[in-house]
Amino acid sequence: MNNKNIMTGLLYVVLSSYFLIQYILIESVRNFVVPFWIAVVCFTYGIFNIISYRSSEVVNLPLRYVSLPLILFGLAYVLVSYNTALGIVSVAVMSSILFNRPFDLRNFLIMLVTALSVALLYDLLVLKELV
Amino acid sequence: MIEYLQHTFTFNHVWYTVLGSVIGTIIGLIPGLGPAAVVSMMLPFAIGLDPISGIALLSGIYYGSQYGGSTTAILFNIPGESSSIMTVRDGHLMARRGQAGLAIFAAGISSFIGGVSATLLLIFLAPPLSDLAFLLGPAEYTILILLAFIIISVIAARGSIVSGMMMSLLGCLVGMIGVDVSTGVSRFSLGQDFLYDGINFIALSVAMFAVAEIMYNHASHGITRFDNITVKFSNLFQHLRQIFKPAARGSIIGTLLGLLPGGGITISSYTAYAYESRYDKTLGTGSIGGVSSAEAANNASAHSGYIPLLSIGLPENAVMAIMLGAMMIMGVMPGPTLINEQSDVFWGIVVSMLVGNILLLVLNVPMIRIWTSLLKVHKSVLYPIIFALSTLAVYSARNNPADILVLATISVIGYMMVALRLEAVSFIVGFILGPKFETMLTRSLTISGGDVSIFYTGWINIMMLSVITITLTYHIIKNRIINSNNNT
Repeated sequence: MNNKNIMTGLLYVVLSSYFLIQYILIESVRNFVVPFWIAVVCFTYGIFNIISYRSSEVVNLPLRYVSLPLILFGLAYVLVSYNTALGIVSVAVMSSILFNRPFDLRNFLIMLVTALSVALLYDLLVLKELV
Repeated sequence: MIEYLQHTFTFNHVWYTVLGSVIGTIIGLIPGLGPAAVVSMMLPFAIGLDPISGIALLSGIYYGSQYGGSTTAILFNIPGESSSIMTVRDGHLMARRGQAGLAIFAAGISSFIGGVSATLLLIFLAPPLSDLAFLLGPAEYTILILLAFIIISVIAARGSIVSGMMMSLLGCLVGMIGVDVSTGVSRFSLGQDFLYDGINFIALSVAMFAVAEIMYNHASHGITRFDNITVKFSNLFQHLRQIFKPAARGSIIGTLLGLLPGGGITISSYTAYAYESRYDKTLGTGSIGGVSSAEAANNASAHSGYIPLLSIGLPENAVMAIMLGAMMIMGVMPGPTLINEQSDVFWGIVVSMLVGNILLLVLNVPMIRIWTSLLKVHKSVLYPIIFALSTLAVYSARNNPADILVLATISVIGYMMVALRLEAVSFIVGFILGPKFETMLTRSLTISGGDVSIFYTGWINIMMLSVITITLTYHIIKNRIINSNNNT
């Protein structure tokens, strides 16, 4: 459980810092005035949200959901480089572990066959185009 | 018009309208899977088509979901779309009385009346608005984009308008990653090749509207199971007279509210339903008038949202924002110049909307048993497939595995935004319009030699600034009144 203001503030601070850091590090970026001021406003808003602590509202951000896309798509990134179908099916199987609860073999097999068909169809179409 | 009708009635255009309508109907049937998610996933496919076919496909998904949403509402007491909430009230009571067929028929006919009437208004209203093209310079465009940011923030604001505007600014920043069109310099890419062209729009929209929404729905509601309900059809045509008047009233309200920035589809169906209560005292007890007015209003509103999008490039909701991005990728520039310079595309969209509505009427009413059988698909099958399709959609757009990394990162950000109830729509509008805002702002200041008075000179700018001031003042006063009422 996290305070909504703090989490919102952190989101703004982290995202705007990505831009502000590049203003400090990369010289050519300094010519762009508009993004700089937008980044400053976003950063300030983020800091204001963190320190103001106005809201007692709490939001539920389970870590497994926050980390899930990174694990799922991270795996897909690695596997897609070797084989597209493998990457796509791996995402389906991994996400099935989360959504297929309690585990139902029939649903898992339906999902697997569908994902395999889509992936192989895509591979086939790409190969046909290449040939 | 006849010339454009002939141009649009090619087999390809009709086929993609049918495909979009079918997909949209299925999406509307499945609760928790909105049209924004599916429109995002279909983007790589749509942008490979000619502009009219691509837009017809995406539009079909959008308004098809309005038709499909009513079926789930009537049969299962679950609004497939948020806009079907009012349909649940009377529609499901009708279904429980054994009038499910009649309720679905009323919803289909009313949606058709709403959709067609709003499309006709688009035909008559958009061309005069396009004449504005000759009056808009860089300064006017700058203020117009600012107006879009503020209006979308007001629409999306769940608490504070400041929060919505800040999301627009954050979206602007992310949209500015990549090559600057004015100078040709790559910026904010950390020297990474895959960021040289900026963040992939398809990865962004899929992450924000498909992946993030599914994770949030699953985290908060778990998996829903549906029970099967039998659909019975009775003698339907004798009820047409009962349907027509509420549908006509709902269409007018929906069209007008959809046209106004801030109207929204859900608000339209609420307003039409409330207005209908003046005429129908049986509302809430399974009245056919309740279903007809709400359904006509939500579909009319979905269609009239195209008027500000196509005529001034102003998206009103998430789907319209994605459509705006898709059109820009396809080389179609929504805005005042569309009707003059790309008139074939404009009329193509209009005709596809008319054809789509006729198709949806044909698809929805007689084939209702087929559609409801789709509800038996369990989410443990559906969600992993959506994840797999999202990966495929993002990867296939450029065949660049790095886009999957972008998808991963933005999915985390998107999930946080949804969970924190931040306005993802404002973010995506900022992402799309941000770079144009910067270009127009810089160009205006170059023309004026740094003099900011260029932004409040001329009647168009003054009018738009007045709208901004009135909108902000109204919103601030409204919030103060609500807060003081809550305190007392």
